[in-house]
Amino acid sequence: MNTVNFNVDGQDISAKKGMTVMEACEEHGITIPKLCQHEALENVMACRLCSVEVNGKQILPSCGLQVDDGLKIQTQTDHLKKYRRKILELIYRSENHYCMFCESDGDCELQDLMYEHEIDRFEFPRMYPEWPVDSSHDYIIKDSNRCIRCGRCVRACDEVVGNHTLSLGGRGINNRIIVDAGVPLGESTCTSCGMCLQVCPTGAIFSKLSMFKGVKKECDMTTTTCLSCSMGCGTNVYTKTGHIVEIEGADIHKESGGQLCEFGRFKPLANKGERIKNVILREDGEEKELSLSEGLEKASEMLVKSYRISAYASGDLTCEDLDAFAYAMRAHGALFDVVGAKRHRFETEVKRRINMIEGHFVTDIREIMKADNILLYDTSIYHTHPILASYIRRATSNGTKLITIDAYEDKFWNHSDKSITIESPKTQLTRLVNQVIKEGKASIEDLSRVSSILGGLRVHPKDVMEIVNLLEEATYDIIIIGDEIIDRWSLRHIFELAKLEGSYVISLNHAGNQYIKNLETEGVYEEPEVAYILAGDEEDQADMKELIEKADFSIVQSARRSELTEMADLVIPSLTMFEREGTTIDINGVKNKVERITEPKGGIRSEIGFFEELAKMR
Amino acid sequence: MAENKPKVATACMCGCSGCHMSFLDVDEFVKDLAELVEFQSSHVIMDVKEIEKVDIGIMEGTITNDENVEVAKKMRENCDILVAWGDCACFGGIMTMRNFEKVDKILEECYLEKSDEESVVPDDELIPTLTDKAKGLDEIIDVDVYIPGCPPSADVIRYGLEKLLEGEIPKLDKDKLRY
Ligand code: SF4
Ligand code: SF4
Ligand code: SF4
Ligand code: FES
Repeated sequence: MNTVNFNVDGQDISAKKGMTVMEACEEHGITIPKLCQHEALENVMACRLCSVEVNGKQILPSCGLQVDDGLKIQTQTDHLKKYRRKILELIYRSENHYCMFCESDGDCELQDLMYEHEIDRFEFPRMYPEWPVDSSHDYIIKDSNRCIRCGRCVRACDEVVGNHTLSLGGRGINNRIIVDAGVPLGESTCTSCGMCLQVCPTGAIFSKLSMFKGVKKECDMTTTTCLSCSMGCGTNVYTKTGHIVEIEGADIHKESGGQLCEFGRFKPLANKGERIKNVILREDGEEKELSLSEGLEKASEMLVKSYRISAYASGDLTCEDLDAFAYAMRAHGALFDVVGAKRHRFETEVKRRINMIEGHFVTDIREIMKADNILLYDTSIYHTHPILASYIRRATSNGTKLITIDAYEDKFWNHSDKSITIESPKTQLTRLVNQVIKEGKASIEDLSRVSSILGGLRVHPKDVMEIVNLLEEATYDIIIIGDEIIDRWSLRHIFELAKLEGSYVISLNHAGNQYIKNLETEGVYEEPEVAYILAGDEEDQADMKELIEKADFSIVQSARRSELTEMADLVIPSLTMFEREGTTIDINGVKNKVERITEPKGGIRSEIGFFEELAKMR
Repeated sequence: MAENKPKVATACMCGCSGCHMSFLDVDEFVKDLAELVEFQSSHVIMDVKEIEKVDIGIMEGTITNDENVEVAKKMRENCDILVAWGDCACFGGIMTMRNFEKVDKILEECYLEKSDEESVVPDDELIPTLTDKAKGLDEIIDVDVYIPGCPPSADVIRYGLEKLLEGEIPKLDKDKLRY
């Protein structure tokens, strides 16, 4: 039997075996107060607020109690209510709660529960313990004065982020949240994901970028998709009078646990670059401001009279933006490319050459958490694809072996079982691994001899053997290739290795929108007459700068002033991530909606309309 | 019948007068109230210092000095129903932030360390002495009605007064309760 029948407050209910009493009750619309429980996290039964009366005798926390046949549960007796009021008051008086100036006033689960339990007076004296406030982090303030030690943040950092930065330290009334071995948050191993503040029920951890901007309960909330990387995380964006108050992860029921990374949660609010309101033309050493239609004229004039035109777009735009830009640029005979597309083209070419079938590619990146082994080429994904990195960290916490191969320091150093540092190209190492797998272990002897003759080869035969052994003993291994690997030979050897070993592959590129895989792109002229760069929100792409430097005339379309716009001859306003609208495709190939969150505040309303006009003017 | 009107006194201890300001926000209800009750003393609307026998005594602010203690006790003795207005009176409120330090240390810091050279710690006998801790009203006297809020909204203040005039002891439910 998979269902059990029991009774709650006189009502017969049935629930799936394995569920907790709290979950079963919630499913039936019976709410039980809670503080330490969070749907994305394991239950630890720390606060006891959810306690219920079981079979008329015991009082047990419902978040940790499994449903069972014949249980008689009471959730709202007078005794329980009194008990809960005491718990709430004891929690409140043990710390320093000053709701009147607390950042979380109005958005606080403790406060909500105090109201719900109609606590208008105190029975116990307050303690006034002295706790520190840690504001060392760029985005996060950790105020122990409001911390109720529910441990949600600790669990979130462990279970969801896989980062283990936070833990409970000290004993008894001195028990509190500590960072690493007791360092300030700003100097810790924290990845700035902000998951801890998203789950914190009180004002004990909050964002500097959102503080005192508004009560979330009074905001409008829109669910959209982050365009910053190919994970395509769902985000809940809270706005008040047209301004963004806070950004939270939306996919709380998915494996991501509602995570976001620095780029999704903080960066969009931290971006302080001045918005571009007018077209800027730099001619004969002078800077002129033009209207948008004059800018359109100027752009088309330059495009019409030129032959070698390179059009290059950010990969963090919607499918519709990319289509419109590509169409306009093609109409003017430009060669068209998008950030990240080059890597994809190499990949396609190599796949064709070695006959690699699509079946080798992981179609759901959450598979990472099921792998026996992970072989990771390029650890910079720690910063470029933080959510994917969190899956890798979580996997290693569950026993998955991780080998990293990087030219520089291993950014997963405290998670990997082996770090191999080898300069680019990684091709020799992988080639040797392939040889050994094909020809047997004896061949490593020959190979190392050959390589020492060739000289310059710094591959250690031991490293090769370690990779071989690991791959051979595992049944499910995943090879992850970061976006820094862009030489064809490395890709080829890695793909061959995957073929040989039957490994699955996750291959990452720089583009936020994986629509680049469906788009026709090509390499652009390196020294064009005109370079047209659609930068959107992007600021410091090295390859964009290079293209501007080599072009006779450069057009940069950007939302904000940046190094790019300072270099350009013609600057045209663009939209930010939250002003765009359309769709985006994530790494799993799923199409997600991008909603317009704020009205355009720069000098352009419809970028797509602008490109439609431009396409006509030839 | 004017002589049957309930008598009300209000007083402010160590508070910002915000609760009294919020009370004035009840707008036209003040007019109704003036017909329904007789104010014996209330620093925001009249200049009477002595608290005499009243039916309803309303207090705002935290107990932070010996004068506050005296006024609180006098109010308790002279009223039938004692109402605590605001977080300060109900729980201690923002003034209790001084409880992290000893009184001497605070005075020293304010009047000597963070002041100019001529500054001294005031010790005139006319100046009330600070209590060792800032306290909520019910740590000194019994309180009958709690209207928390920083400040409580005009609506909540009005609700409390209306209930009292109907002869009930008001208790704020979850929609009215705010800290
Ligand atoms: S954390 Fe909550 S209960 Fe504590 S002071 Fe802030 S709003 Fe009030
Ligand atoms: S910081 Fe927040 S989430 Fe962490 S233990 Fe304290 S109250 Fe709970
Ligand atoms: S921001 Fe993320 S990594 Fe940093 S402490 Fe919080 S949960 Fe952990
Ligand atoms: S919610 Fe169950 S013990 Fe905290």
